[in-house]
Amino acid sequence: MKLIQCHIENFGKISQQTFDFTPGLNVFCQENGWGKSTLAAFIKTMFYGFENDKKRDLLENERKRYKPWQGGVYGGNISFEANGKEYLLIRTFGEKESDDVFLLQDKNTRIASGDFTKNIGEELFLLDGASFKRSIMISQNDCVTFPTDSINTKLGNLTGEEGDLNSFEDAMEHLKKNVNSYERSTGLIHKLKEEIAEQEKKLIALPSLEENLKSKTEGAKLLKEERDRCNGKLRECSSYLAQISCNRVNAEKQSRYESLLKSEKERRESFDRARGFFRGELPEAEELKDKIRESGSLKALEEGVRMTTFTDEELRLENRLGEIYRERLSKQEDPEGRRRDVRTYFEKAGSYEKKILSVNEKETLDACRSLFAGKDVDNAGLQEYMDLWEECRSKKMSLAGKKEVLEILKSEQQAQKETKPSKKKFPVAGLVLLICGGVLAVAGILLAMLEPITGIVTALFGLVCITAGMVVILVNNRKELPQPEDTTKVQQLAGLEEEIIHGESFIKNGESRIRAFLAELGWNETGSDVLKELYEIKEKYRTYTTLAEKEAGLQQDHTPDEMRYLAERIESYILGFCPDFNGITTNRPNGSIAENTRFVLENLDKSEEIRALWNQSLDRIESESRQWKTLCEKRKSFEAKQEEYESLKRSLRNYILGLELEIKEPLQDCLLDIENRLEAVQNCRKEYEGAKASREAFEAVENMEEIRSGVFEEIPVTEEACKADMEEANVRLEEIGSLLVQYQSQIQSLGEQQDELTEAAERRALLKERLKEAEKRHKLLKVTRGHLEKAKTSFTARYTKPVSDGFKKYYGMLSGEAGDRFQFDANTNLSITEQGLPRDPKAFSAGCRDMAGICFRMALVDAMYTEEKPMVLFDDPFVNLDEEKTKGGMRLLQEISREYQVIYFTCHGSRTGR
Amino acid sequence: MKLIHCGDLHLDSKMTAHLSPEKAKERKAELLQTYLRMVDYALHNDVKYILIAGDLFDTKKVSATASNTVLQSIVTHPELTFFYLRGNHDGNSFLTELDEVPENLRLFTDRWTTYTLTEAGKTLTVSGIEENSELLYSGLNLNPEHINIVMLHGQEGAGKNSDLIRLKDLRNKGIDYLALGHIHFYKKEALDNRGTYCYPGCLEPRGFDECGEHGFMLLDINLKDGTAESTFVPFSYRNFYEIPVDVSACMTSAEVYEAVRKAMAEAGYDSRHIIKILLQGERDYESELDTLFLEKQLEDAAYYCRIKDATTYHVDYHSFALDESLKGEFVRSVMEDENLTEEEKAYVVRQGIKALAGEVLD
Repeated sequence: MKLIQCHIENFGKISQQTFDFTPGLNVFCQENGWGKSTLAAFIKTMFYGFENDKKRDLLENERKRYKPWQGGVYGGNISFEANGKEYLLIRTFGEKESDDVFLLQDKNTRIASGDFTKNIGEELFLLDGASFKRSIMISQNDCVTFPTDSINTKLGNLTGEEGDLNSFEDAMEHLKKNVNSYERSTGLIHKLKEEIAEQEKKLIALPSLEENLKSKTEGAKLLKEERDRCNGKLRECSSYLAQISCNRVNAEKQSRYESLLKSEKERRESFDRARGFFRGELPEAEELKDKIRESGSLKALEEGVRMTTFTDEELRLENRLGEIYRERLSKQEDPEGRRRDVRTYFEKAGSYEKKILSVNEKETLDACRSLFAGKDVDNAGLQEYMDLWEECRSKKMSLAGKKEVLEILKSEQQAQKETKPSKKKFPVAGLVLLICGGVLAVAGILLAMLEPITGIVTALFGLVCITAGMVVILVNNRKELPQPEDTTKVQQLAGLEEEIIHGESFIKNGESRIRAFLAELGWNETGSDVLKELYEIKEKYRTYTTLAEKEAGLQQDHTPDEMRYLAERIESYILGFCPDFNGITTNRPNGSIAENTRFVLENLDKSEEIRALWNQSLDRIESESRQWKTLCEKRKSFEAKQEEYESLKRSLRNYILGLELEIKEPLQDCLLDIENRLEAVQNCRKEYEGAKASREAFEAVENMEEIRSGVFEEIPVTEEACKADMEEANVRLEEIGSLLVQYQSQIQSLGEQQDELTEAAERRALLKERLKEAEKRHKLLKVTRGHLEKAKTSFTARYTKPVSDGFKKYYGMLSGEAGDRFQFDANTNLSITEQGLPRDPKAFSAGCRDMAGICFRMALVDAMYTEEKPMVLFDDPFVNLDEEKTKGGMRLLQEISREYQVIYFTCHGSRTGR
Repeated sequence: MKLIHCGDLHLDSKMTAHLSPEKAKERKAELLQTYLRMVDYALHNDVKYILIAGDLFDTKKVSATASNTVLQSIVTHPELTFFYLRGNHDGNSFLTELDEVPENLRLFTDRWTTYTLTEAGKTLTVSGIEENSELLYSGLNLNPEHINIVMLHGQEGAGKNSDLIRLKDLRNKGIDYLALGHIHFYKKEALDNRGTYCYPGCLEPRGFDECGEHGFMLLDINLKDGTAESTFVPFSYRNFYEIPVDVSACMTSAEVYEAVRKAMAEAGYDSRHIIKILLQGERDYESELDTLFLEKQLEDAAYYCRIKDATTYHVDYHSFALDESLKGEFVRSVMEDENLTEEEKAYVVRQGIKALAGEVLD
């Protein structure tokens, strides 16, 4: 890899400068402050970017440090050749890294190239920035170097496995952490041990607990054995007691058996006695019960017979009524029909009575007849007369008014004729007419309520007067003007006069006619009011015609016949039951209509008596009928009951006789007695059979031989001794029971504890297992670390030699010495043997350090870049060397430049090699 | 006549092994629920008797929930009769808390207790003893005319250890069916010419040491000829299964995952179960395997899935013979260490390489 050219836009104090580079040695000998280090830094920065971007210190923060004071584009470009290709790298820098611009182009085509990224330094040199400065870039006063990981990795590139070596430190660190995680005080092994100790602490109690549990279990077992012995003792004693008891029981059984025998015998005898009552078969209980039930009704029947037995009076009544009612009642209709007849009769009587004329009516009829008979009178004629009279009266009134008017007109006319118009006179006459007319009208209206015709006429008259009055007033109120003779008035006067004449004539004629009629009629006028008299005549005529019609109607009415017929039917019915009845038809045979009418009329006044007579008779008949019916029913009932009673009695007696038993009265008691006896027999039988069954059952279950023999087993101990032993055993059993409960409880509790400890033991085992595994892993991790360390040592040792050889070569060039006192360890760390011991180069002078450092760097570069060589930057590294060594340095440069492109900066000509 | 023979329910067991606290709680409840399902099964399948051959509970101190649930199941089903023989894990707490023993609960003691059942003119006895002493053998007297069922809890064995049940000493005693408990796996064999002995195994498994199907025995006794037919009824809600998977050819967790998935699919286990994937084989030392990540990926494949890495590393040491890199140097260094076993060497190589690669160490 070689630099071709670089152009700095602005970088530090360098601005707008271009530098060309050639293969081999490129010397830049410039005065101090020219910017040599800046140029070296530019070259480094173009490939690696800035370092320490986050530092505040100006010296450390390269971005700030090299920021051009003059402003402008901060950056530049550099062209180089790598792997046979030429590139142009352009970089500008901003305030921060994100503002930086990176651009790589193919130098010839100027087309952007993707062969390298902005990490072009690492990609080209296979070193990070720090390693670049530790190797390829040799700065003044900074010659001392040491292999970084990157350098080592690069050195490791000898075998191509850069990754492993690069991560060796991390791997060791990682392993260390893992190992620590096991072995530190808070590590897994320690934790596990602690947990195990905790479980073991718990388990300390386990042996004693198990011992305790075992002891308790044993104790419980012993107690159980003792309990068994006690139970055995109890059983033995129980057996003895049982035997004793058995003996006692046998004796009791014997006694019991005898008692059973005796009881059976007694029961048998009782049964025989009870049975003896019944000579024949035993009655059926159900049948007996039925008979008893039947006998229960005997009394009721007897009572019924007694209740239905006729008293003497009833007998007499029966006889009496029987004569009449026995035959007749069945044939005759019941009284209700006759009652209806009675009602009908009196209904007809009532309606007929209304039809007949009363005495007054008769008298009136006679009077009217005498008045009107043979006369030509009728309603229409009378009305005509009345109307005529009215008209006449009306005309009279009208004429009166007209006459007055006429007088007035005449007087007016007269007055007109005679003198100057006189002062109008107040029409007093008109006013009077008005007043009178009003009074009459009111009076007429009031009168009309009493006498309609008169009232109306009066009112009409009153109206006429009012009219006249008004006319007068009007006429009077007209202005009187001297006029020539008024023809109209004259006509009017004439008309009036004519009317008056006609009117008077009419009136006269009318009145004459009416009066003539009245005279013909022979009416005596009272003279007060003809109209009233006419009205009266009319009323009388109306009455006359009404009465006459009524009279005529009666003559055609058949009601009396009907009434007669009804009366006869009623009384005939009554007579049928009451021969001594004397009614209204007695000795009054049915006759003609007239006769019947008379009959009816005669009895009309006595209606109430007749009604009462008939109703009483009918009531009597009804009552006696009911009595008769009652008696008949009673008779029937009596006979039935009697029959039933006798029949039942017979039946019961036959039943008792059938049982071959003596009949006793009352029969019910007798039957009850039989029932009791029967029950007694059944009870006795039951008892006997029960006793027998008991005896048989006893014989079936018991050892009868033994019982009968009376011999029992012998017992070696007494009952008291047995009981005492049992008592003792029971007490002990109770104690054992209580102890066992305690033991069980303790065993339970210990068992639970044991369970917990078992769990703890299991946990401990598990933890131990885990501990074992952890310790194994821990051990193996340590082994892993050891082997890795060992591998690294032997691995790095492989390239230590080339570095050592390279160092010696360059040291020889530089110092002229062999450089044998310089050694490299497996980690490629340099030491200088002095006074027989390897020493740290830091302990030596700056010149010595620089020499060693320069040679070391070049040895490293030689070892790292075995094929394509990079450029090497020397920024006045020989500044601390003496003259001799400086010459050596120049030789070194020459030598190096045969293989490498060397960019050499110096500020002194003595160190240019020219 | 039908009976259920079960044992080792270990109700109230903590179930915390492997499972998170929430899942442990859930499993604990499932244990109880399986017991109730078994009772329900009995009701719906004409079973009249349930024989519990020990270890009904896991600890001597029983929680109120477990105690009440069991008691309630007994009391509310008077049509079922429960024969409860206590085992080494059972204590007294359940029984002492009962105000009175339900009528349909039959208990045993440290002495032989025999219950007689008569049905269709045939007599069936159920005998049991809670203490494994000599009395167990000397005190058992059975009527050979009857159908005899005997209940015991313990490990079968031949030694003189009193905790063992000497089956040979129980032969020819007229036992038709020896209902045992204690072993958590199903096992049924002939006892003698007449009868069989059987461990039904635990009703619901609790760990990977109890892989496979679990349930109870259904006894069907023919009352006419007195023969007893017993059938194992798988009944557990969840089972533990171990699936070995050879991942020798896998280099990455993803490849291992695929291999595991394939193996699980072939095994065909329901996702309800609890699976342990046992990774086997020799993996390349550079292969990558994150078991936690795998477990996370397989979360939905089972109720709980655990990955156990039982693989060993294979290092082709010869390939490093000429490896000039640091890695090669390291591997050669490890190879030459005589203090390490081959397995340890493979482990060290792997850790070293992982460290150099900046990966998380195993």
